Amino acid sequence: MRCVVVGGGIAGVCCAEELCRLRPDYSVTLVSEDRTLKGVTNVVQLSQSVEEFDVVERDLTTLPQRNLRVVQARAAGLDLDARELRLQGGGGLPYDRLCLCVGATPRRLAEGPNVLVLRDCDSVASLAARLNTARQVALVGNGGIALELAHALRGVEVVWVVRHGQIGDSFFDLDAAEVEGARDEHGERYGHAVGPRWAHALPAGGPGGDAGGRLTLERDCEVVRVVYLHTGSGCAQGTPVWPARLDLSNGRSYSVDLVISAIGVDARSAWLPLQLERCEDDGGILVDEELRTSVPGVWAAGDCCTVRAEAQAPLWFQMRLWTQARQMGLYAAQGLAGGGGMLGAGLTFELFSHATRFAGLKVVLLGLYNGQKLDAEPACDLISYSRATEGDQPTFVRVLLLRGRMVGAVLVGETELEETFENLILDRLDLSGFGPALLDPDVELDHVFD
Amino acid sequence: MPAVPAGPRTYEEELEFIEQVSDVEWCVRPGFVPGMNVPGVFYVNAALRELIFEELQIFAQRAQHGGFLPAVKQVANVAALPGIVQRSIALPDMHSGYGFAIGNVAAFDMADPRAVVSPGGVGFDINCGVRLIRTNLSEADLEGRKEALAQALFDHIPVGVGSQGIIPTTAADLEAALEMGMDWSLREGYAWAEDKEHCEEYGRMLGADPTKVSLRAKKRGLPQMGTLGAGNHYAEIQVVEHVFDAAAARKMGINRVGQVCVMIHSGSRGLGHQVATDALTAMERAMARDGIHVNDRQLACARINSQEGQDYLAAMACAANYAWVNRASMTFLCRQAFAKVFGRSPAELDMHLVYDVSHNIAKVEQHMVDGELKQLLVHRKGSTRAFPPHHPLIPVDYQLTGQPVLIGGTMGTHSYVLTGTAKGMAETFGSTCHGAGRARSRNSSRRQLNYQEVLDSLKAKGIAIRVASPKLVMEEAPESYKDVSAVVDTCHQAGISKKAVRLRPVAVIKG
Amino acid sequence: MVAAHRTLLLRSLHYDRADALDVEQDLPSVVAWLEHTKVRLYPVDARGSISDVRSAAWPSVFNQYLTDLECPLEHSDQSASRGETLDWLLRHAVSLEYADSHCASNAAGAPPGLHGRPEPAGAAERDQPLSSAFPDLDSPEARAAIARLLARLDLGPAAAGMAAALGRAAERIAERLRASAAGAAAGDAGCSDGAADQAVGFDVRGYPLGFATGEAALDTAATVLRLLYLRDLRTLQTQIDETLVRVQEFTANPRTNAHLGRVGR
Repeated sequence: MRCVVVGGGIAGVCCAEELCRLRPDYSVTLVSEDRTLKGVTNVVQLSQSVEEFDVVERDLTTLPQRNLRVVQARAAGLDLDARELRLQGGGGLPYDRLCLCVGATPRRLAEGPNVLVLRDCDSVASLAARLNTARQVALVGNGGIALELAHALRGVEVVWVVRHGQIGDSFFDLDAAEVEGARDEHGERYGHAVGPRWAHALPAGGPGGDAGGRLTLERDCEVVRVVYLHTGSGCAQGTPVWPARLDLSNGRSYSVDLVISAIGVDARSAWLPLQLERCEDDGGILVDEELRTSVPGVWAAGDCCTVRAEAQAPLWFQMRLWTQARQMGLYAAQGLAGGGGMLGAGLTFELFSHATRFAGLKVVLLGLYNGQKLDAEPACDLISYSRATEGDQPTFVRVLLLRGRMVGAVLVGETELEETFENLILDRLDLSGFGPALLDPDVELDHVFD
Repeated sequence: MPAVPAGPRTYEEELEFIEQVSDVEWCVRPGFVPGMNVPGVFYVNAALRELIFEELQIFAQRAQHGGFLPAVKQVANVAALPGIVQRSIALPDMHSGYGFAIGNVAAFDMADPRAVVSPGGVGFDINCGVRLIRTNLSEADLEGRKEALAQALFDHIPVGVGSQGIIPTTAADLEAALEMGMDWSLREGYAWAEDKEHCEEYGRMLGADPTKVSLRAKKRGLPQMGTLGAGNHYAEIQVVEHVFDAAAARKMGINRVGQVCVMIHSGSRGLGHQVATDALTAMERAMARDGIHVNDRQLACARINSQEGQDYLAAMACAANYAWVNRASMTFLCRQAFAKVFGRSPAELDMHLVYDVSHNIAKVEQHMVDGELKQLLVHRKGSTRAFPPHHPLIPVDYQLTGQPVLIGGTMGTHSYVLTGTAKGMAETFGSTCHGAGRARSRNSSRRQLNYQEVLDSLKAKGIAIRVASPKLVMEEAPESYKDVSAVVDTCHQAGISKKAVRLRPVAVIKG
Repeated sequence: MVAAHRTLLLRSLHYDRADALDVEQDLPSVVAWLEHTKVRLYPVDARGSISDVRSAAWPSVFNQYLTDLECPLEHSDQSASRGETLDWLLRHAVSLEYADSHCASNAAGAPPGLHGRPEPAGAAERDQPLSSAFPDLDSPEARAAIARLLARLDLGPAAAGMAAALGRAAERIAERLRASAAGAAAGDAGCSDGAADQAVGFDVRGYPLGFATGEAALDTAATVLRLLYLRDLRTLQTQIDETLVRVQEFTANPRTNAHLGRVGR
């Protein structure tokens, strides 16, 4: 059985390696454009569906599986009838089963020297270098990358511009929690769960000085234009000099050193034949719950695919993050290996889960943590409770209940409740009898549901 | 006897139903909640007493719906279940749970057609339990190797979906594990024959029927096979700190102060959860049909002989088996890790299993009730079986000492090994505490919680609970330490179990 | 797993092509072979129809065969159940083989003293069973090691065979252990040194009885009975453990990464 996996990113590498492990009798070829591949290491299981891991870069030649062949080439075309992947520069790879993990390209907000588009580790490194001298940056977008970045940026002032195309995409949500001091310059309360109070915990650094690291959230607006300002010597002494200005649709403007564009991605699917059905919005290759495309024998995983809405479990949604790329890669491998049987991927795609870090704190997101996909539900059926504890180890917990059943949770810090909440969500227990006492810190929730 | 008042009672009125029987024993009289068939009893000493009564006081004064019932109320509600025998018992580590309090023991007469089985009396993490593995190493041998050992344990424990665990598991393996429990591990070669000998139920409940376990439960269980779990599950390297009962300790092979042991605390996790919720749902539907009334919806139950009851017991047995397979897998991995670090085989390190106990399970047992031998379905939730010397169900090696009882303190605090006694057999159906006492907040005075409900235009209502003091984290905080010891001491004082050994943790591994 | 099991059964019956069996195609020839060599249900001259593997009537002949064997499974033509039926037949053949030769095969694998193997009487005979278990007992390295062991235990050099020497060494070690255990027990009980000299004495009354007859002497007797019973129980349990270990040798999963410790000791 000849299997071909196209793409050296997380999804592709995880898929290829898992496939080799499951079927040592198959011949597996991984096609990668770049010499370096993404890899995953230090996987730590926080709960059944939540993992933390490090993404590393590995050399093409270092993959240990014996039945794996790595070809450095660029895919140029796909002949579905002949079952052959055509490579640039000539040559082709015949296959019995194919998995497309070709990823997606970020959309560009604007062109210019101060607009950075994050794509891969190179751009991250370049970002890090430029952050050293940046005072204030604008982060535009609400995709997975923006989420990761909002946590990683420190020592610099950040303006985060979020367009609410879909409700609840933003991690910084609309919870009306009373967070002390969490008011913007207009005196309005910040709606977000993780706000400047947490940001004060960031190490002071960068030119921002003591006030460095404040995060300003601009929601429900878009970037109308990016204006490049002259940095010539004609400016008066003492006035701050900014290379760019961001004009927003709500009438406000911000001067920034850098604009980071994270407004979403377009799948790299243009080169593929039309028989492979695509999603209109982002060009993602449409797949079912088994990650099969519309063409038999061809799977797709990672950023380049879009899971059909009807194939998504109620508490799962797609977010182009490394965690999902990995899960998809592993699951696609099961499909290529001949099926995982009745138990399949377990409940990986039943519950959305993501673990990340913010200001040194662990952040775990479970399910519809922000009411995603719940637009059609009546407001009276939804209730959210949250609690914050202070001290040496601050924590924050917020849960969302739909008709008494927990459908989403946000956990910040060492709450030790990841598995408890995951169990509660998957159990679908009716928790309405408990009311807000559910989050009473004196109640040991993990014992009650033990 | 005070009449049951129509409206909510004051704290003082509630207290009239509770009386002290001895230094460590308290009785809850029928009438404390409606429909009690038998009295309730709880064992606490002076130190632990305050928590129980404070909780009751807050409840009486709150006059609010929702929230968690105080443990003592839950114990009384259990006493109102049909078919319950003798008394509804609570051990010193009692605290609020789902339906049943944690630390609640209740036995039901199998010969009574009205008697019920309740998943709340077993818990969600079915067969959450503890096992203790000894070694012949001393604490000094760990010098300079603790890091390496912790790392080896971490390396060996399978983490992450799709990782190459040492123990390969497929859906067929899961099916076999559900049915065979530890016998599967034995067959596959992961367990020693002596392990089976030194395990409660010999590591396998024979009534298991994998067809009664839902597909969803199996889906949750497969990826977790052989993994440790988060939260209060852990593997801990401990050393013997103090020997209370030399003879018992010698029989267990852990009578040397400074001797290194490994304690593994794990259960059935997602699979157990799903089995429990499946049963709760099915039983709720059947209760109207069978005319069962309970004081608390969380006490969903079914007649033991009904289809729902039998199905639950068969599925519960599967979940129990799964947990034993998990603990056996962890044992195998621990042995490998030690062997790797110390360069000797596990046998040379004398890494034998001392014992393995469950503290969330229901079992059919024989007990003397009012001079008559009866067959009872004993629910133990957050409570450990503690059979006395000469009981036929405990291993040969412990026939003279009584069954070992492993009390894992909350992670990072002391652990204990106790033995079962004849008094415990008579008073608590051979049960004692399980350990993890509640976390006690530093600010022990009553707290007023302010709730604010704010309607948000975009569908979410927000409620924030502001607290002045943080949730207590288990370090070597004096209060938390005393908690476990207070619990164990109370049981010792009550004579329902006997202290044998105290252990001190030196390293902790969390999955 | 099912296929592996079937292969195992075929191999144990010494069937030639055990690994490459196809239930659909080879079933008739396997069945015929089994009947001829192992099962032998019919007399020789009545085996014609079951051996006629190419005949169109063979399936119904096979069904009759199964009925005659009192096979409890349903006979149908589904290939899945054919596989099950074949497995049943194989197991039946294995049980017949075992019935014929169990004495011999049990004796070959059992330790001396069990299953009718003769207890070794003299020293020469004593060497025999041990030598088969430890073929290098007479090698120079083994001899040297045994000599060191004997010296350590203050025993004379090995006069009779190596096995006898080992036996003496074992006895000496047991003696010393008993003495030190008695000493430890005496120390625990706070006895004087004089009491420690009673090598294997212990106070029966210190052991829990679990009930009281009312008479001290009767209680002591009952305690002694308890202890004897426990000793028997322990022996039985140990035998069970040993049997389990032997079975593990066969059943242990070969994919287990056991390089750090032997699986199925």
